Amino acid sequence: MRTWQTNIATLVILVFFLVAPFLFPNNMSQLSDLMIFILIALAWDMLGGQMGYNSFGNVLFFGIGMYIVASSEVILGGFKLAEYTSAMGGNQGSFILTPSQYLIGFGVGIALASIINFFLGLLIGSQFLQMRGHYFAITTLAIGVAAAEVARSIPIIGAGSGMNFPQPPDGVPLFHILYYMGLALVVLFFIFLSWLYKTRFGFIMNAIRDDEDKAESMGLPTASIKSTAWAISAFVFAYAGALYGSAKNFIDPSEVAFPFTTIGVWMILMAIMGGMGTIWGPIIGAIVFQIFKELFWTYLFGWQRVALGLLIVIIVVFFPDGIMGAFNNWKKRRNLQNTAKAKT
Amino acid sequence: MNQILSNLELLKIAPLINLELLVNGLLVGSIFALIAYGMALVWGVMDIINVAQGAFVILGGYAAFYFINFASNLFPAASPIIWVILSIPIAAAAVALFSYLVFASVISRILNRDLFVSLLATFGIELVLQQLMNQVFTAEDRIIDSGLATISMFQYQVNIPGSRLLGAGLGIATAIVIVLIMRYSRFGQAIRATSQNARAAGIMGIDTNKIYALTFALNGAICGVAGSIVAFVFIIHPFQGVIYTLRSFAIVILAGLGNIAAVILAGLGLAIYENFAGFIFGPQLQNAFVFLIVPVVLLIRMYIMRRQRKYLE
Repeated sequence: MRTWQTNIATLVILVFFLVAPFLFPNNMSQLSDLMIFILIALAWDMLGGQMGYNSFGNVLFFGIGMYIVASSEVILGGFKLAEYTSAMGGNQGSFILTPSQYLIGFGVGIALASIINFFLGLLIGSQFLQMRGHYFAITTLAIGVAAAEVARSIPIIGAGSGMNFPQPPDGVPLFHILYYMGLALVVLFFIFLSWLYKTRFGFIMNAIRDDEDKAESMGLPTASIKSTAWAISAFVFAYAGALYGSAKNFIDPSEVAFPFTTIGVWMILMAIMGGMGTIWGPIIGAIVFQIFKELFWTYLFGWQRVALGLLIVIIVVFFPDGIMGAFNNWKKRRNLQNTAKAKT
Repeated sequence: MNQILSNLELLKIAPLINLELLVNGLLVGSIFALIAYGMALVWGVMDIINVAQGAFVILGGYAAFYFINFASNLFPAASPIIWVILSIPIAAAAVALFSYLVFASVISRILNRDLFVSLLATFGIELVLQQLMNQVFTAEDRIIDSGLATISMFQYQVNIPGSRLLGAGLGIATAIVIVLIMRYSRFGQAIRATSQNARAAGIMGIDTNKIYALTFALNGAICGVAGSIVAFVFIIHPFQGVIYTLRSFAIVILAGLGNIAAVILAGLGLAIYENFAGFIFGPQLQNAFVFLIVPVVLLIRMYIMRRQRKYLE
């Protein structure tokens, strides 16, 4: 239900994010991370919250997208990928890109990454989404782990020692580009999702979450809906991965590309924290999570993972409904009280 | 490709290498199988995936390490083997107590929730434990010297580290004890009854909450034993636990959920398969092979189920 309050709130938040780089010029890397987190939380919630398929394996698309962008930058810059990765240790100096080469490589790479991963998502989804419940979660977790190990053994993308992104040339405001590209997709994806959740497609997704057998026996095309949703989420994950890799400027197979122990868990945590199955939940969750995370990393360094682990346990055990869930409950209670008052 | 072919050729020329790979696979596999057994037990009985399994193992390793340090300073004359063997019950008791505390504080609250919640919650516990151990015990690699030499046979074609042999022996002994407990004792019967049907077990007068707590503590004890074995066979490091978690996770899935007996076979099989894959395709591909087999096996199982108009759930 859209009221004028939510419209104004949306507008205020949008304006805030548009001007945020001017307000916090020193925190650009945190801000661009925030955009990436919002994207992956929304994309995860599309499956986990709305469709009931709790996936741990979306980092697969995240990492593949990252590798595609890095390779595209190197290849469109006129270098050979194998030479580039094998020389990675010392002489980065001989692999310098001009700003236009860098931007073209990045742009083409990010488009390629998203589209390739969309189709990869269709392909993988059509098979793995036939599993349900526990087995789906477990299998996707295994896929994420396996992807990191496989990437670790392919020499052309740097194997275990990882792969550097080409150095961004001077004069390219990398984090501003990443931030606004992230924000652009966040806005588009948000509009898309709020439309999608009101269409037949969205209702079928919810039906699958509530009772897949019944949905199927009603004649709903569950299989194709599931893989399409998974492919859309793969598209967004690849885009987010491309941004994340460019921000980190270095790809490590299991820490950055397929980080099943960090991003792979955070994406779920953000969605739960904000409230699964709501459209605002993942966004709020990502913002709150990013603030917590940065506070932990700044003020509790050395103990930051202890704090994060405790936060995970507390949220999962005590607040499974998240912020939006609590808000909705409060609203429901208030409405009940209002109707009770109106009656008397 | 040539490398792979020449490795295969080597296996044909020197058949004893096969024996070495097989024996080492069996020895390492029995340690992993022990850890996976604990995970399968918790998973089967209370539907909780304990991602903190690896951290428990490492915790057991530290308990053993500090006990052995302390004891061998008191009695420097005794042989280290005695302390290694004595450290096992100590580590088991320490980790069992600790995991009981974890159960009482966290796990008991998520018992009837989704499996996915347990994954996240125990992951949080793993994170906390990792860095706590890192802060308390420092990030230094710890290893216990068991003082056993490597046994070589057939003119050094087959080499078996003595510590691995001892570790595997202790692991197998523990596994036998646990299987006997599960099969013949009242406690084991109650655990099995609860895992089959918790409601019916409750009606029959079994205090299921107590059984859950004890099962989790038993898993802690298993992790403690495994940890003290790991401490002298491999190394102990705060962030090393993930390896054991992932490995036992793979083993439990390959064995099939609810099939606790198959866990031991799957553990041994996976280790042998891994050793051969590592030898033939090169050590850098060893882990990739271990983790790729999990989705592959699940996919195959799914296709088989689909022909019966069922699905994996």
